[in-house]
Amino acid sequence: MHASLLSLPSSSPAATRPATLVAAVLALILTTRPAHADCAVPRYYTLKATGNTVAVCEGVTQPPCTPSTPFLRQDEATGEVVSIAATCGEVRCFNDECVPPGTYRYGLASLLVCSSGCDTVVPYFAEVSVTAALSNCTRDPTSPAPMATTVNPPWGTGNNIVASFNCPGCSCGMVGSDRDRGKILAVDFLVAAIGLAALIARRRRAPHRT
Amino acid sequence: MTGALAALVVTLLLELPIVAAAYPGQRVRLTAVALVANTFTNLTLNVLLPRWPLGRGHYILVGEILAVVMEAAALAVASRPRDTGRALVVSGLGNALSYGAGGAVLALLRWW
Repeated sequence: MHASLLSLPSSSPAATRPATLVAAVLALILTTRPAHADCAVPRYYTLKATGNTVAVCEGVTQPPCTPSTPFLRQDEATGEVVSIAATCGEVRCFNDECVPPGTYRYGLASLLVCSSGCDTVVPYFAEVSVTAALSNCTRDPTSPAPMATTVNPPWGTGNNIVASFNCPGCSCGMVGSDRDRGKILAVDFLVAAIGLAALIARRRRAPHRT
Repeated sequence: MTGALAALVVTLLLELPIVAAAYPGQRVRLTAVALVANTFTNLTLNVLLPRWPLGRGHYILVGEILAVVMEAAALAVASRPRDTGRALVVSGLGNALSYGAGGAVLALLRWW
């Protein structure tokens, strides 16, 4: 018979193995402060320039990308800001086409709503550089067109650029210490405790059967 | 998606050895079951639930509860003889470990 790690032979040398396993797991969990959900993924804005097209994707910490919460694109050299009333699709991305060469900040025009979740630092924008010369670019008619705007980006203008802000309760889930951390660990340990109780109860019943 | 795959790999690296150690007599079969169950629950957590409007703000809590319950159920059903207690212990400890330490391991792997 195989000796099981989770069986509880009271008089064998293996009796310390479950306790060692539990202690090791507890030590790892309790000494690792950054919260991560089932090893979940931190996601914010991600940008990728291909030629004169910038693929803009929003992360799960941000509010939904809809025409009513447009993206802003700020030219870092000139400070010019355009508004892009994009609708992010299934993968929460859209393409900004026919972007002239330059370095840009992209971010949502409105701040995310900190409703519940965790304390975390949330970036206002992401940066990307477009190097390809712009010539004979034809925009896909289904792609959102940038519109000139006088709206000030939430991250600021000129020399007063603020890269991120601290959200006391956003739906981030990945970075920082989320408020659900205690609940999640409590559920995990409760499940383990119920299982352990079942194992112990079965073991106590076992001598009466034989 | 790359980030989701990295998270999945780290989760599997942390949770599968616990399953393998806990079921020495059925190691290969139950590790395979855990592989499938973890892949399903982890991708649900990282890919599907963030897009689910009702789960916004607490989708990780929802995903974690789903994960621990579904993985325990899969191990309990697949174990011979059926061993619900052991499945609950393994799933609870495995998920606590991957939740608590997964991010640190992911950061270490990226640094390495």
